[in-house]
Amino acid sequence: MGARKTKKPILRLRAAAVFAAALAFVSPSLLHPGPAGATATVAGTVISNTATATFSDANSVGYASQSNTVSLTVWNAPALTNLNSTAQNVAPTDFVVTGPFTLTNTGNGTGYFALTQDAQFTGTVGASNVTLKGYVIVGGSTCTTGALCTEAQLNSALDSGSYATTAPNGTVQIEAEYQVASAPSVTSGTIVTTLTATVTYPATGAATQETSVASSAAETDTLAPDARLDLQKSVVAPASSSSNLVWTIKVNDGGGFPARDLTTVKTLLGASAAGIFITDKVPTFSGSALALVSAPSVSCYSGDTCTVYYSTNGTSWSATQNLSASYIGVFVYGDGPGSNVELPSAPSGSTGAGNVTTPQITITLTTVQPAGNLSANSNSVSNIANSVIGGNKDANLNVPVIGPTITVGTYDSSSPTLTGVFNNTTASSGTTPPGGASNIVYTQAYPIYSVLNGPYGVPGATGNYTGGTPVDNMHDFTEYGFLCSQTPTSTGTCSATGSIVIPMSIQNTGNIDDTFYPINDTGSVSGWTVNYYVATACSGGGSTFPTNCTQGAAITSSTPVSILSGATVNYEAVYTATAVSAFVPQTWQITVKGVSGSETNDTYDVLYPGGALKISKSVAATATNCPSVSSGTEPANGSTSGVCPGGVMTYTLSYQNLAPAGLAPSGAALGTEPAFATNAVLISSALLTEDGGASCSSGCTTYTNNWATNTFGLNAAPVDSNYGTYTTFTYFNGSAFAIGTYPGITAGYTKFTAALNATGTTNTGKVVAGQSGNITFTVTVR
Amino acid sequence: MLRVKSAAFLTIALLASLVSVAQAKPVVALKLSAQMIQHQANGAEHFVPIDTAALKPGDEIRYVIVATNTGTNAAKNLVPVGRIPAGTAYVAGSASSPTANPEFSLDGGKTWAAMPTVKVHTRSGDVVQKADPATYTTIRWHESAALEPKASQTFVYAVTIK
Repeated sequence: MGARKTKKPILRLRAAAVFAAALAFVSPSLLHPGPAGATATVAGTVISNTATATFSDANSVGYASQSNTVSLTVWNAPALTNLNSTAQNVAPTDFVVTGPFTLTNTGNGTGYFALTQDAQFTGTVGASNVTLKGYVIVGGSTCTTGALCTEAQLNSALDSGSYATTAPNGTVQIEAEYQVASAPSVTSGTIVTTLTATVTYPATGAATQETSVASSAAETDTLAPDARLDLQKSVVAPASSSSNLVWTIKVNDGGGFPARDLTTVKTLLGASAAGIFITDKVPTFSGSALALVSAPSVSCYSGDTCTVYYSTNGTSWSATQNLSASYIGVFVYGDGPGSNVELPSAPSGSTGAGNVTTPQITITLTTVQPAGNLSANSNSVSNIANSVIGGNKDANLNVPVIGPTITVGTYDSSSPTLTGVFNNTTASSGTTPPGGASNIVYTQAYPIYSVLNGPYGVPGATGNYTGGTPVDNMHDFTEYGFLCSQTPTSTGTCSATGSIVIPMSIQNTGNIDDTFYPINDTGSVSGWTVNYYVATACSGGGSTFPTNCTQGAAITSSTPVSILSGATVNYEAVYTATAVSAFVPQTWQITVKGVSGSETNDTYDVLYPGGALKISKSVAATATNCPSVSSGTEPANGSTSGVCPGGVMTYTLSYQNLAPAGLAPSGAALGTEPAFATNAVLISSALLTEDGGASCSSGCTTYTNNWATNTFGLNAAPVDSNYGTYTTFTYFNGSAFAIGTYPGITAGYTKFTAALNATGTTNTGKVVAGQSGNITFTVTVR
Repeated sequence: MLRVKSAAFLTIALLASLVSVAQAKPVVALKLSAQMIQHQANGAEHFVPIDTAALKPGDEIRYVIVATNTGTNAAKNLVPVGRIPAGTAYVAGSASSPTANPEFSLDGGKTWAAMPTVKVHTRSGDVVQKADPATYTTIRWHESAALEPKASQTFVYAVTIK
């Protein structure tokens, strides 16, 4: 029983049973042997002394004499030595057996031992963190319960049987057991156990009264943390978009005791797998594990063997290489510094999770970079190695050493609680591990900056504002015509009524968040201003020009708009036009720039002052019906200045889409432009109203539209130069048009509306940019 | 008659002579006493009467032998002998006398030496070395000076209660 150990009570019971069995074959005298070697003079011994002398007289006659006798009686002199062996390291929750404290009757009589009081606990850990469990006599009797004795029970045992007459030099060994609190108020320090005992000699012989003497001995134990696997994980950020990510996990037992194998590991890797298992979830991005580039490499602890395992689900493991695995693990086995010990205590090598200065094991795994939106954002990939499974210092207890909050048998986690750095402060208790998680590490893909800028909703449109074949997303465009506040003329100026709002979109197509701002790359244009704002809640888009956007914050180079990787933000260019040239389209190059990566992309806004459709009207007498005159000049056919009753006048209504034809591509030339981008100048729903009896409407200075008054009305259906004879008109009486010729008719329709149909398809009122045409109709003068 | 007288005279003279001789011989009275030695912190020793109810192993006892010549003639070759009682051990260097040097015996007085030796068996053979003073059994002094009548001489040694 000389070896120090710690054990749980159940083990104590088992040991006690063994000792009890052995006791039957051991003589009590062997348990506390009698005098051996130098022995004190037994109490009651009478020491007598008489001196003698010889001498002679002058004649050399010899004589002798003798003194009186001096007698002294040796009395009871109880003496006790109390010794114990070396100190030991203890951990929270440990049941610690101190001693054995060896009590030796070093006096000169027989007597019995007794504790003067319970074992006293001092030291820096403090008595409040220690609980006395009891005592045993080493190799001797146990208490009636077969377990630890109380002080009273121990003293009773020491004062009975052969123990009661322990001879000089006889010894008794006593062990005291205490338990360290599961969560002591201090994590380290000393626990001093002091045991004070007496040896008592009964009154006997010359000794007329019982005498005793006390002696104390102390054992100083050191509270140390249990086995604790500290991990430090690190990763090197990629140096280029083609480089890989290299993850390193350093492992060290930073606790005060060796880390051992654990039964739980066997349930994962097989019954024969006695060792420590260090697992790591392969870092993921967007829910997918980054592919391993090669098998992880391991620098194993000297004397151990390390084997790499792979798993796709964390529960089934195989040593067969699988670079698509979601989990990797390193099984550490071997005797290491001792049987069933994989890693010795090396507290100088680490101080906790994320702080391993001298690793015992180093694991390196290489993965590809994450890819896609957000992948280059800082810390887009986070990872910890927190599933360390091993046994604590006591193989019998089979207490796992894994990361806090990690249940045995699980590996890594995306739990939101796994943030920050774990502190390995969780004490070992039962199945509660004492720690072992690593720090959390972050990295990201190499940044790729990219942006698209284009029409609303289609930032990557591939149109070509020049009308040419689209080749990229740098020439897309949005065309828009606007009305002037005054009646425009081809040579006049135009001022827009209010602002001209062109919604557009920016998409961050890089793999990293950035901020962006648009600029006008066209330069200053007289009469024009342009500013940019965040636009939200727009209506329309697609085939309908987006309108009614909610204007947000201004976007400038100093106040760029933040756009997440892959996200799109709508913005609007707000133009003002004051005294600009009417009917002169203005093309704006709008360049969006990224702040961090200086990425750019262009789009174009083409604005048409004065509206897109220009109309004009003319009339000529196709048949003047004037009689011949003898003198002067009578109107001839084709006259634009005169006509006679019965003459036929032909009115021509000319229309023109002022947008240059090249800015309204169609078909393949349209690219991926949204419909509204060209519909802005593809005149749609253009209704021409010809009202022969109308008064001047707004903007007119005079009105002379009285042809209906002096004619019989329309002679026939109007004819569109692009479409031909209209078959569908809207006449204001809603009836079919009666076609006739003077004087066969007495009256015809005097007004109509016709949807311009320059596209030549159906009567949808569309006129493509740059296209012109006219509508003609004839009337007969009354 | 003369022969009777002469014989009587001779007898008387002889008796007188015998009485005279008897009265002239040295007579040494020995007194043995014991004291407890108390060692003081300063290294001094105090000698106190023995507490007979407290004598215990480890205690040091100082034996004092006082030899007094109560005769009329000087006592020559005085050799006082003290014993190291069983249960005690001689305290090395404790023997003292004003004029005599001590000798010690390991065998109860059969052999004496100022510094007894013992033969020790070692692997390399027997080795003679000084005996442990604690193994001394007897102590004596050779008083070279005659102890004159009425004169006393003191001999001291100490033992430890084993």
